[in-house]
Amino acid sequence: MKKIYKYSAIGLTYALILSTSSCSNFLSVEPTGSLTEEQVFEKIDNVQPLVLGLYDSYRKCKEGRNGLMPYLGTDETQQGNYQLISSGDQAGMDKYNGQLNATSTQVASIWNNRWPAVVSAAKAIYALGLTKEDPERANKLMGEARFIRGLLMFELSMFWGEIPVIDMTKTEELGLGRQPLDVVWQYIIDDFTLAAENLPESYDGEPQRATKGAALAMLGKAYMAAPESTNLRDFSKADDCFKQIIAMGRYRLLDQYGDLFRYDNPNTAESLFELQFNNVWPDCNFWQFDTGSRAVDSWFSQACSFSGYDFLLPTPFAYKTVEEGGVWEDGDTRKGDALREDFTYYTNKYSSDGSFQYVTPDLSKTQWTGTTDELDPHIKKYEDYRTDALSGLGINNMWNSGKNFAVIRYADVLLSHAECLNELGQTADAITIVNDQIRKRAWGGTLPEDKKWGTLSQDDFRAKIMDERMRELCFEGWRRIDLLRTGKFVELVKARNKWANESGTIQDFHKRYPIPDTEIKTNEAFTPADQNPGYN
Amino acid sequence: MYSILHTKSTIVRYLALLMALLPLWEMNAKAQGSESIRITGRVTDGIGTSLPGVSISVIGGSGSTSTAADGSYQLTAPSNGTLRFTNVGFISQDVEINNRTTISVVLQEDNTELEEVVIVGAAFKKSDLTGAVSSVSSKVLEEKPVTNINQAIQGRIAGVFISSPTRPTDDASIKIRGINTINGSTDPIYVVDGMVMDNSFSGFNAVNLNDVASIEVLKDASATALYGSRGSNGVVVITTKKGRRGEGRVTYDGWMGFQTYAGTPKTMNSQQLFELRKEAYINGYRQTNPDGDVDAYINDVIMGSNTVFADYEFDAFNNHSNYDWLDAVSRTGRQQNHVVSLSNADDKGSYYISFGYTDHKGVIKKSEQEKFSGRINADEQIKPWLKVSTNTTYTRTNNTLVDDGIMNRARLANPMLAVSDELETLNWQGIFDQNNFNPLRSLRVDHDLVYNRLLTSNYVSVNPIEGLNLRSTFSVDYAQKQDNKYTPNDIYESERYGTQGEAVDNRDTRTVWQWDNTISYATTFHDRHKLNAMVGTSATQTKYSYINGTAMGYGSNLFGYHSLQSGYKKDQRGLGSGWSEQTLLSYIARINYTYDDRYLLTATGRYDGSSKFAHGNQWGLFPSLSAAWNLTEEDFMKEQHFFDQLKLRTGFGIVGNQNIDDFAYLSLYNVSYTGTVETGYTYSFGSNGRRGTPDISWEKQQQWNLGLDMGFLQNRFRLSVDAFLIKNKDLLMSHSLATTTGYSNTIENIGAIENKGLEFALDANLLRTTDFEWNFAATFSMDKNKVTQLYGNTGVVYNVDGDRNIQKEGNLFLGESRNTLYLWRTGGIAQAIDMDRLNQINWNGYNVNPGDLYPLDFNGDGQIDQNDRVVIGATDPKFYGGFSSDLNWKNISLNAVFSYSYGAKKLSPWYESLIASSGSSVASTDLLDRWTPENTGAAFPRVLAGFDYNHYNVNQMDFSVQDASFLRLSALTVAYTFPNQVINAAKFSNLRVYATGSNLFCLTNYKGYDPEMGDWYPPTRMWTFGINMAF
Repeated sequence: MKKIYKYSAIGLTYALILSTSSCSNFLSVEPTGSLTEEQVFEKIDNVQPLVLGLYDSYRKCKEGRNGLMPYLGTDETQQGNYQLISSGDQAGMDKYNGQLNATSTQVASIWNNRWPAVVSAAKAIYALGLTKEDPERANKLMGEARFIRGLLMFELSMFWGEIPVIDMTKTEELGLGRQPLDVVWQYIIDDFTLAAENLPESYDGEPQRATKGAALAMLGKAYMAAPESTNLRDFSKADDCFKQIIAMGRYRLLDQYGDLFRYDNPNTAESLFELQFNNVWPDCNFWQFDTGSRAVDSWFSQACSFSGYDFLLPTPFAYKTVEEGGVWEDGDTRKGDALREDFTYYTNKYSSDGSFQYVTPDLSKTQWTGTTDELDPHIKKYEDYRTDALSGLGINNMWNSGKNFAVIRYADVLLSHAECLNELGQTADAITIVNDQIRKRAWGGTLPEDKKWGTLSQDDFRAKIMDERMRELCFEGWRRIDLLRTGKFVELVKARNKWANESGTIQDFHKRYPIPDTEIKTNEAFTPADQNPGYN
Repeated sequence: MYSILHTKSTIVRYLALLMALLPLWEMNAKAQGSESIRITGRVTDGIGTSLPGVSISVIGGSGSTSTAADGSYQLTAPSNGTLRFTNVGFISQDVEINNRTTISVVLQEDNTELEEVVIVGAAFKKSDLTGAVSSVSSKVLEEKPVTNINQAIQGRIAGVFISSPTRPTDDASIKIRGINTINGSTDPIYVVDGMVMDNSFSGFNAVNLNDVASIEVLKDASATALYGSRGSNGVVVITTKKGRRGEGRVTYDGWMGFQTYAGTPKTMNSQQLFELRKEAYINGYRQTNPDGDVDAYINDVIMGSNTVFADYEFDAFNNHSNYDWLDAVSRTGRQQNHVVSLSNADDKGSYYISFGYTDHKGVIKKSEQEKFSGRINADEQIKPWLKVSTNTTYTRTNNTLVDDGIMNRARLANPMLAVSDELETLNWQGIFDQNNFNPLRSLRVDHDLVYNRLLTSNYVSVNPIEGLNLRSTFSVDYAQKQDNKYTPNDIYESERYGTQGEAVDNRDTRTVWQWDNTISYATTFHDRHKLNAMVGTSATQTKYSYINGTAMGYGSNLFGYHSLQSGYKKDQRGLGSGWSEQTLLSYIARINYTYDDRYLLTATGRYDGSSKFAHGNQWGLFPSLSAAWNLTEEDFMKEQHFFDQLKLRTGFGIVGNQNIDDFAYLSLYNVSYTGTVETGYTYSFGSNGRRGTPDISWEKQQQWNLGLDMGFLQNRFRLSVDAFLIKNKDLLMSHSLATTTGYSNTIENIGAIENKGLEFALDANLLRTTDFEWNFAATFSMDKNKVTQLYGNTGVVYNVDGDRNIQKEGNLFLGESRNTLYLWRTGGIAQAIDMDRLNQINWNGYNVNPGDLYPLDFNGDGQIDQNDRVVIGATDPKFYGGFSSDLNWKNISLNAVFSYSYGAKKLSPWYESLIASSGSSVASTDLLDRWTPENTGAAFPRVLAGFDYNHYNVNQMDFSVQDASFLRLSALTVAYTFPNQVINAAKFSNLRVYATGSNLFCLTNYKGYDPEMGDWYPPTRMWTFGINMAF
């Protein structure tokens, strides 16, 4: 009998062990290095970093090759010849042939890197609309979130037309399907209007954040760019915005055009909204990698700050003189700051004794590409001398290019103001602004008489201001939008983009990109019938 | 029969007795006479060691004795009586005296323990496993001198496909019954003495092969059922050695091997390469300048300038010099392995202690792996009802890694460029190539990777009453990894990346504990009904953390990676850390029922909870049922003598998989900072891009298995056949989302894969005479997988790289294999007479002229684009396996192990680059048969270089896809075992010497390095000499 007690005791103890190991908390594991979505939206202290993260998301849309993708296929920029022949898919972005279709991964990249930021902004807007905490801070953050949502929807609608509208208070009503243009543009205008009301004129030491000036500039641009069919295009309202910015007295043109593109001169008095980059991964913009010359790279390596891989080059129109059929007039200092035409480099690579000398590259080392545009004029505005081996800063790789980039600058505000004045019938005033401010600086402070614009008709002004915008703002990301809003897209791209011209296939429907196939296949609110006309 | 290991049931005794007795019974059935005689003799064990203390008694009579220290005995007994020899740890033996006066007996060890496998806290007899299980014994493992388990069982087990590792520091990859999941690892789990482990932290390498007593591979659901949640890729059960009863035993096993390259594709020498490049430029000139003066071009440009050839290339051509850069970074590899073990056992307990040392110096200079391991396996019967045991091992692995680029850049180096460590980069045509670092200088990079691993599995087992066993097992698997690298400041890597010297220190720690508790009960009633039942729980927690640091900017190379703080580039310092935790909780129940040894039935249920899923979806139920029918036990089979064994097995089960990232059910936001010291930093939150799917749960795999085990001619021929069907549903698959949702991807239970196959395993004893024995074994496996469902209505999921190009491999197509190759088909090499037809096609920017290769316009739309790409085949073999032959003549044995695979297609990036050459990179000698106007029937297209002429390349279409079928002699071993009289005189109990050649030949049409290992590393051959001794 003793044994039985002993065994029962063992058995009971054991049963206890078995049952205690079933503690249900054992399976509860919480993340430690990140926050859940619920935690992010539960208090304003967490929503603020989310809103600040929107600037990163926007910056990410602009980084690297994908960021430059919408620059392809304009009258200002096109891809290099070797890039064109090495990827048929990518070639379609300039050729506007059958390769530009719904399966284009290049088009998909433009779409796909923007929408998560739109949704994130919409969620922040929703959370800030509900919060009762710290109304003053909530209002400012609301302004920032609406600025970013507006900015992205502005770009998306310019590129695709009817797009989904993400509003968390109306998810049932709006869903994820395409909305009519007037709905889309009303949202864009409302976002910028509210941002302009809520945002401060400046911040203390946070240059990346959106200001009242930036919101007014975008509101003005939205009034100028809204499709006429929406009845929202309004040059008078647009001009009000630009006038308010001018009246703020906070912004001015720098004396030297070249000072805008110095790596050691960020966030100037001309800048209204600027992306903050630097040379340390992941904060670089990597643009030089895609805009530099492959021939230079073959001769001098990536340690030369103007080497690269010819993804994005100026069109002949954008680098040639007026006499040659291009855009540049003699004496315009902006050309030298915008374009690299001399590829001579100071190096010890080719001397027999290792001494430094000036070496001018030729095409002999890139013969294998079978192409010849590697030493045609290249974009200079993104060159970052800090990445050059000669700078002595030790970065030694142009992939790390990371100068700041002004998305909106005061010169654009002035040019837009002039354009509005012309549209409103005040062409003479418009000409004065162009002559006395923009072009005066371009010619080093004194504009020669023969370079001054004289009396122009409203139509002539329209044509000339487009060229002036290219000279002033080339490679700064506005060209596609300028072409689209002025209705000149097909005509000018066909005439000036080398690949579109050779292909000759561009048509009116190419004003819009195709909706990516993956969106149509994975978004239940989309059907094949939602594809933009002309694409299949 | 789980719990009766030490209080053996009478049934087992009776059966053992019966088996031992039967043959003798028949032989001596007619024995006569009954006077008392004096009998002497000696008792030894199976390997000839004398057994002291064996008790000897006369059955049914009086008189007994026991053996002396040298195993001898003497006894008086009736001349027609029977002697019974018994000793703890050995099977009792009864011997008819039959008028003999000298009776020496060899006692067989009681292998009950060896027949036992430990599966999650409970021990089972192997014969009770009714599912598809394959075993490999330690004897087989000894046949190949390798240091890891996967390589040792290669070609030995049907349904298991093992690819050898490419570098000395790599593991062999293993796939059981094909690929059964879309995401995640396809590695099976390893269960070492009951502890579940995976391959992270070099896990499969952490077990010293010499410590392994046996390996069981569990292939179907009923066999893996006890692992429910984790067995979907199969289970490899490893049982390590224990002390054996008898005299204490000391063993030493050692071998040393020499390793060289086994053969590489032939490449052109300087002369051939020079001519190739020259021809390419001439062709280029002719193509683009049809009216040009070719002779002038040759004289002035090709031969008269440095445009095409640099001076050093002219020199090499003129002097007939060839420079072998690969040889300059290579050496004869050396590998050695030494294991000492000490063991003993008595009727209270046993111990086994071993120490191992392995060193492998790779064929690429500096690459090395050094491994130290130690093990203690001990158990003790503290009370008749209480037993404790520990299996504990520690392994330290020191890897000296060399950058892959060293071998790669050396094999791609210009044979016209003199070997020198003065060069910063290796250049062709004198063109400075900033990415082509001199491999001799890259050897100066220090990269050390150290693993420390402690594995311990411990149990307490209680047998309160006959048949009932309670067992609690606690196991810990602690792994630590330290990865250090230093790139000196004065090699070109540092200039190229602007680092000025870079030091990296990564440290990872993972601790897994597993606690299993089981109650099992075994009983037999009415003689014929045997019932085993088990219930239990298993809890596992895995905690992982890492920290890493990077520093750049070193003024000197004095400190290597030992001083991160010495890097002056403070703003470029990198720092990272992270933690993760996973838990698993399971309830297990299993019933085994056997009726009359004829019908066997096993039912298993497992209820698993995982922390990978949200509350409410954490639990999954994984049942399985299997049955076996021993036909030879049936009355109607008693009369036949053809089959010695005929067993039909069938099973169905569901197993689960939760092998996904943590917190896939949550949408997570990460913190990031942007900014610089000057501008200040911004603190922000951003989504990690993945939408959490709260309702994800277990991936489920339904498995059907039908098997037949046969034995013929006194079991001299044994054949097992298994057929299986595996349907994977609710696959946990990451897929992209419409970005308008705000996320880029999510993990959901979608998609399905079907996998079916056949497996054969044959063992044959072809010849058996006194001096000569020949055994042959073979396995044959075929399986075929098919993607049967993808998310939504999607028919294809493309694998797109960073530049958004669709890749050749990794795409998923509905209705196709999981592992497809997706390319253009080759149209052919254009000939002049084809041009009218070919000129109709829009080549989208490419040129096609006579001599050029062109893709097939597959959809016939007159245009070559991505829509012409097709699935041209799969990388899965149609069938594969291995066979081995084991010849023994007296003390000499000759053993050969072959492995084979048929029908797989593979890309060979190395060969592709060799045939894509136009003389400005290493070229295959196959290009000697290239298209020229005189040689229009050539196998390869013409070469072109130097001009604006965009033409299709060999690697853009299936032109270069390789047939990866092969037959390999993996190992050939000659061994000599010293005869007993010699080793006994020298006080040894075993002494064997052997020589092995590994990878002696490989018959294949594959043009790259190796059809199995691929192109990352040249295949190697090894000659090994070894010794096994015991005393």
